[in-house]
Amino acid sequence: MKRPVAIFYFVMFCILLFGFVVAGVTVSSPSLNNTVIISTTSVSGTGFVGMEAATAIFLFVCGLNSFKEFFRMLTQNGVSRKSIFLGRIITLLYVCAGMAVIDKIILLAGKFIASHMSGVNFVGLFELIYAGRADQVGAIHMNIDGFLFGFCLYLAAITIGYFITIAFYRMNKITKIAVAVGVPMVLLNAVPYLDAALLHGELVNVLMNTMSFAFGFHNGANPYFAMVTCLLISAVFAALSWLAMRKAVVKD
Amino acid sequence: MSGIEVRNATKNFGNVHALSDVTVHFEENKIYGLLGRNGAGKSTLLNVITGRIFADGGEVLVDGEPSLENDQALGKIYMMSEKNYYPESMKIRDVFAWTKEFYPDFDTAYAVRLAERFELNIDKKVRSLSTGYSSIFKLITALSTNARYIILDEPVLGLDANHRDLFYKILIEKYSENPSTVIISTHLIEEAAGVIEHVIIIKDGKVIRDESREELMAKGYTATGAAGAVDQFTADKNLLGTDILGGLKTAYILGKLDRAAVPDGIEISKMDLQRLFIQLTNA
Amino acid sequence: MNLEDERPIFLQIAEQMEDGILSGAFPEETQIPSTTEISVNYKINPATALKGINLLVDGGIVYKKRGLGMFVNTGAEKTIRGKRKEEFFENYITKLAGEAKKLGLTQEEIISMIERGFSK
Repeated sequence: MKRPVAIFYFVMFCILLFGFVVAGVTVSSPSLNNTVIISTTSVSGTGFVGMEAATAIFLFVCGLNSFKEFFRMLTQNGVSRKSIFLGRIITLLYVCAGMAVIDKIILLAGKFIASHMSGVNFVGLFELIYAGRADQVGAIHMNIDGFLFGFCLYLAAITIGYFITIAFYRMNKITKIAVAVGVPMVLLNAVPYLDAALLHGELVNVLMNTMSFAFGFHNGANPYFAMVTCLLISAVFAALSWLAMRKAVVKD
Repeated sequence: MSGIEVRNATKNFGNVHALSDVTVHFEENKIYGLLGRNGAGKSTLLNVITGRIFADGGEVLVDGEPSLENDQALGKIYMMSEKNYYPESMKIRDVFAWTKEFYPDFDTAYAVRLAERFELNIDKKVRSLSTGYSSIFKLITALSTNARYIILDEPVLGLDANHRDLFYKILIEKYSENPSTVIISTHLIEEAAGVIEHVIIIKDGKVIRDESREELMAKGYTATGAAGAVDQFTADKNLLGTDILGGLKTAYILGKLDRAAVPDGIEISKMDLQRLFIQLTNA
Repeated sequence: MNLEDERPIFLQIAEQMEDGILSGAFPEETQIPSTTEISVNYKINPATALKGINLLVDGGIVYKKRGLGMFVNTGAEKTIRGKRKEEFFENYITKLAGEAKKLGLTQEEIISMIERGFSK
């Protein structure tokens, strides 16, 4: 775990550095103003937006990391599947908490630097999504919420990734192909098509409303809903991971 | 009860009955020889014992405790097998360090000494080892854990004659100074016959023999002579197999030898363990 | 040491030790190799080696010195020779007679063969 995380932050640092240099250059030259760097939504002005998305994606991929090697080595050394699973969960919690903290620090540092470069913005993912809330609570509260939000989001991302890895480990070749091809096909093609044809788009509506509710947008912008949702997702996928793991056998 | 107890273990892979109602007891501080032809079920049995795969029926107890998902029980066992389950990019030195994390009684100094005797460079990476040295690295690791139950599945795979010789010496030395249970599964039966105290033979997923080497050896002998005379002699005996060279027939017999009842013209001689095994496990 | 030899290994071990005592390799009141050394040397199970040594202890040929190991008893040589003479008849003479009968040799032929053998 240490190495990938270190590499991630090193790359992140390089990108940020590069970004700040570019920002510094473009801001001072009028024609290049309004350059947006690493943005997940459109924002006016030059700046860094939503860096945490990168972390979430990174963790998702980490969750996808080699279950096989890890499982084999621990089984070779007489560790029960229960212990392997619990150990993994604890590691996941540490990593998510750690990265949430580091990201918060990067955010604060980035803001600080950006504040000295006129026209450059540095906006976190959380602020972006729950912009409305900033008016309701103080800055410190926002920061803490931001950290908690990050932690929950990362946890969800990494447990989903972990479950996918174990599930794929358990599947034989044919099932793997069927799932890898079939699931996206169904979700992205069959479901929307059927929905439009049979339910007149009702399903999508229901989904959108549920998501909105789950992430706290039904009543202003409430991030705690989102956190709970993410924690629930994490719990569900962690449980699924255990179910997949308890019958895992050492294969060649 | 101490030891590893396998009770009524059954395992099927599709239509293949890899293990059928296998019951066997590995006592403390003994060297066992687990013998069987390719595909007989030896590795399956060992994989079930170490929790790498799940038996469809039956159970495994280690010192009286079920071993299923039991860290304590599993921590008493260490198995080296043909497969390598260590990360390919790890150095041997680091493998020793990691193993010590899981097996606190691991004797690193001993492992290093063994590596020297085998001329194994422990700064090499796991993936860079030849078949022989891969076996050597694994058996050194296994012997150094000082686990109560050490399982060696084909420990001498790929080893040259000199290293095999060294292995048996080291095994005996270690066993003498630090007795534990050692279960050796090997195809090189005659070589290992000397160190094996107790023989367990598996055929087609069933245990066909489970007794001390001495007892088993005392039950096997060959009778050679004219075909007719040999046939008469073996009529009332447990005949395992025969070899024919013209009119000269050799019969492989399982049972107690009664010297007095051997007629003239029949030569009796002892069957070594390998020959006995072959005769017992031929189709 | 021959695993193909009919007799159990521990017996062979005991014999080898006795041979060593007779030949002077293990003089009386000196130490014989430990069970570990013996088992390593012959590549046999230590329990088997121990069994062989215990035979020698029972026969009064070696004895255990606390904390030091196994030592050859005084008079062991004599004991062994005596035992071997007894066994000579069983091991050699009976077999000789049996083989002789098989080959159809008479007692006179055997005796002259023995004389020939001794004069070599």
